[in-house]
Parts: sequence; structure tokens; C-alpha cells
Amino acid sequence: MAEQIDTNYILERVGVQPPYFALKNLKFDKENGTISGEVPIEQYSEMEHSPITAAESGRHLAILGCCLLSLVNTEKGKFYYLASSAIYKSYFTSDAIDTKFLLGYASGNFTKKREGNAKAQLKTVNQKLLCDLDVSYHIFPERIFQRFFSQHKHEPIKCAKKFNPYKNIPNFTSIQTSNENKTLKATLNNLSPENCLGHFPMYSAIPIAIMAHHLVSASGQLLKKLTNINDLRYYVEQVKLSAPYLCFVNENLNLQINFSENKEKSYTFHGIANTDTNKPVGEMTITLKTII
Amino acid sequence: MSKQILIIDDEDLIIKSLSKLLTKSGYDVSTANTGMVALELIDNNDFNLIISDIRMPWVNGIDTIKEITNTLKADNRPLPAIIFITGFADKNLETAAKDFTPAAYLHKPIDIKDFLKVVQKSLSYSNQH
Repeated sequence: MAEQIDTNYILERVGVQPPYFALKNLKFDKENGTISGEVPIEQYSEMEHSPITAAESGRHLAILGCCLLSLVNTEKGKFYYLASSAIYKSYFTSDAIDTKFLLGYASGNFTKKREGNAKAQLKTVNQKLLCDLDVSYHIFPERIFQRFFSQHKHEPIKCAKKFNPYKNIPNFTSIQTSNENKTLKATLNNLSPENCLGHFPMYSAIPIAIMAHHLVSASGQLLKKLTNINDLRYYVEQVKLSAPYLCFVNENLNLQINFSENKEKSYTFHGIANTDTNKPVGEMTITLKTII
Repeated sequence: MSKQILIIDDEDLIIKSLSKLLTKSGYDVSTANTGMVALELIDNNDFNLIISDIRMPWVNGIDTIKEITNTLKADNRPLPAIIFITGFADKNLETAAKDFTPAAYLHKPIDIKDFLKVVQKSLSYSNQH
């Protein structure tokens, strides 16, 4: 029997906070070791044809997995669950879904003292599977996290109560595409702590899901250039991601997308995101499937 | 009492092989696969020597050793000898690594005989200081 979980209890045990944390109605089934919750749909993508973008699905499901791990973590206090790798797979449906929220489910466990894994699924309210995510975390006690990243600490941010930067994500700039080399380069800069609200309070780091959003969008733009289809629409078939470092808001993020291969309507890209100092923040293999 | 050595590396294979080699040679070995785990171990243990990879996820070896050194200095605890190991030639990191004294710098793949000699030399230096 699943029990309702007090969101405040979870928020005392994890690094992410609202509005980055946007799950509602969390329920924990202790017997099966699974958690479920309502997943809002906040982002919109012009080219990605799906009830919810892959990046936003990844964001909510990774947070759901971290909620589960926080519930089975026997140590007291706050922990930062940093997603280090993930595999996303879509079960694309062309059905129109008129809903303001979806349902997320996750199971998982600690694989080492400071590492964990979660397997999560996103379904419609009618239980139609939309996607799944297999995500691994490195887990850091708050005091250790604070000691390593003290140079990035800032004063608490004062924003309007309902301000949500994840509904309108700033675009990347300085876009350079090369049809000849099948590459796209872009920069994500001038971000402020407000753009990363809730991730993490007083240590604003660009969420991996936001980096993933930009790498997917950039792949879509490159695909549009390469196919020369103006009203191109696609869905994200699969993503493999590794994210070994945090990128804080005072660091610029340079994105590079390279086209890898094409099989029928599926196009695969390799994307990397590095800081100006060449810190490798993320690497993704992204497969987009076009919809005609 | 055996010398206490901490190995920090994100590669399981390196951790296992170095750990086995050092244990066979009579040292007490602890391991950490990230700088974060290493910092937790430092809070409760005194190590004579730390062997750290440089390129690691989340916090690199240089920043890990910096934070460990700061912690030990703040607590007036003895500083361990340091050996950095890396699979990549990176001049900036190599220069930064040389800021730590006494510190040795080894490239992967590691020659076992050389490695044990560097370990002994580093430990004897830490004995004298």
C-alpha cells in the first residue's frame, strides 16, 4: 500500500528545491520500494513532437529517482544526488494527450555507499508508457558538497514567489553551423542564479536537464539545416548521457554537435558541452526520429 | 604499525590493482572513487600517503588534495605525502600538482617496481617531516 509522502520531508533531505523540483502528490510503496508522483509539463518545444520534451522528462524522472533514494537512505541530513549518467528511451505515441500532468514511477537502490541507481518511467494518466530513464547518481552529504564548492556560494536569491525559469529557458547564442562538416557550435552564457532557481540554492549550477535541453535543441537545429526541411518535427528516440562535472552559472557553456549517422528516419548526433576552461560538463548521444 | 595509504581514483581497475599491490607489500589501504568520498575518509582517518588520480568526476585530484590539505592544516593534523597519477598529459594540471610538496607525479600505465619505489620514498620523506 503506497503512503503519501510529505514534500517538505523530501526537500529537507535533497539538494534540489522548487521550482526545479516540481513533483506533486508523491507516494511511496515501502513494500515494493517504488515511488510515484505527478509530473507537470512546463516546457514547450517548437520542433520536438511529444507531450513532454525528453529533457523535461529526464529532469522530473531523475528528481523522482533521487526522492526515492532519499527515502531509503539510512543516514540523516541533506544529500546532493548528482546524476552522473543516464539512458533515456522514448515509447513515442502520436496520440494527442490533453493533460496538464503525467505520472512518474521509480524504483532504485544504493549501489555503493555514495552511489545509487534509479529506473524510472513516465506514463499518461491512462497508464500509457511515454518514456523510461535509467539514471546513476553520485551522492554527497551536504557538508562535503559545501566544502568543495564554497567558491561558488552566493547569497539567497530573492524572486517573485511564482517565478519559474524552467518555463522559458534562455536560448543559446553564437550559433555556427557547418553543412560541410555537419556540425553546430553554440554558447550558453550570461546565465544568472535566477535561471537555475532551486538547483541548487546558494550554489547555482546549470541543471543537467537544461544542458540536455540545449544539446537536443542544437541537434534539432542541425538536423533542420542538414535536411533542409523548414517545418521539421521530430521526437527524441534515445539519449545516452554522461555528466561528470557541474557547471556553475559564472562559467560559460560551449556546445558542439556532430552528426554521426542516419538510418531511415533516425538521425544520431554526438553532443558535448564544455566550459571555457575545457571542463567536460556533459556528453550525449542523441537519436532524433523525424515525423513527416 | 602499518603505514596508512589512501588511493583516490575513479577507475575500479586501478583501485583494485594498486590496492592489491600495496596490501601485499604490507600497507593498510583505503580507497575512494571520488574526491567527495576521500574527504569523508579524511575526517576520520590519518593517512601517511595519499595516491590520487588527477582527472576524476565532480572534483579533480588537485582540488581534492587542496581541500584535504586545508582541512588537515585547519585541524593541526599531520600532512600526508602525495603521489599524483594520471593517464593524460596535462601541463596545467602537472604544474598545479607540483605546488604540493612533497609530491610525486606518475603517468599511467604505472610500472610496478617504479611505483613501489616512489611509495617508499614518499613515505620516508613524510616520516622525516
